[in-house]
Amino acid sequence: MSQTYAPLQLYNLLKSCMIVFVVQALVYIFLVPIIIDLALRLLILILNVLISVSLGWPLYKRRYHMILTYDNTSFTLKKGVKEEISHKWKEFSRLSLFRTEEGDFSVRLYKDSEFFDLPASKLRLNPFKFRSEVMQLVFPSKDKK
Amino acid sequence: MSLEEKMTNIEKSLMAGSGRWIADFTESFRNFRANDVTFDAFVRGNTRMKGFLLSRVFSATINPNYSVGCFMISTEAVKNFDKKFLVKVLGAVRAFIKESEMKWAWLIILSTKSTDALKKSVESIKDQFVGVALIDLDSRSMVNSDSYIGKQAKRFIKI
Repeated sequence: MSQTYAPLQLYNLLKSCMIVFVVQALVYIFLVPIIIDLALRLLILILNVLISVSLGWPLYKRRYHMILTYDNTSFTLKKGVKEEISHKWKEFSRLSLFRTEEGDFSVRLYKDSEFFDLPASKLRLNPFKFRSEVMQLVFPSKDKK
Repeated sequence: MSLEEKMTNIEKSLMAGSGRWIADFTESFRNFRANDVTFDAFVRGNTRMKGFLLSRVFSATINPNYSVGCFMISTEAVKNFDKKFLVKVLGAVRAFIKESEMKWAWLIILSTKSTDALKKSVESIKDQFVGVALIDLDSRSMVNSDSYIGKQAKRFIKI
């Protein structure tokens, strides 16, 4: 049975909104260097925030939103609209639980010397339970010991 | 608490809890095989902590970048976990840390029926590079090897 995980990744949504916000702020700084009127400044700030939210959401969906779909034989990790990676579980010979510098956990799947990370924390999965589940999928017939 | 739950708790403690005061443990393998012994878990890392700005600079200039690891094995899967088997397991750990150029490692033995003989064997180990800790889940007690590394195990294991 196929399972799909696509939770909202708040960090990436905030990042998208901030990108739009900073770009707008830079445009204002360079194009309109001196705005003395406080009301106008506030209006620009409010407008900036509103535009950031309205453009940040599509940017997030287009570039950062992650969707993991998997079943007993394979998985597909989609990031944004362009990046889509599919693998069969049996392609991998080893796996581990990996913690990044930011403190996020991933299930690392090894294929010879190469590896592929399934970002468990970013997908709001319990990394330890997810690792156990992936172990069952990668090594379906192997005993624990 | 089952052995599996305890093992996961130690893993969590090493990677995201108090273990981070000892070393930066970043990767954990299950059913890890090293020199003819299958360990239930192996967590590896290094002594150079990551951080933000100042702590990163401090760590890069002060801390040595030693590779370290922590092996976990339960007595449940082994028919007779006695002193002889302990010597074999220790030999496998020592060979592995030599092969992978690790500075030191911990060996954590999780048990539900540890004997006094096994406890005494663990307490008598004086290896300066492999710290051994035996956790008895029934009596909720822990003994460790008689070395600095062995005593450090108490810092990341909560019984």
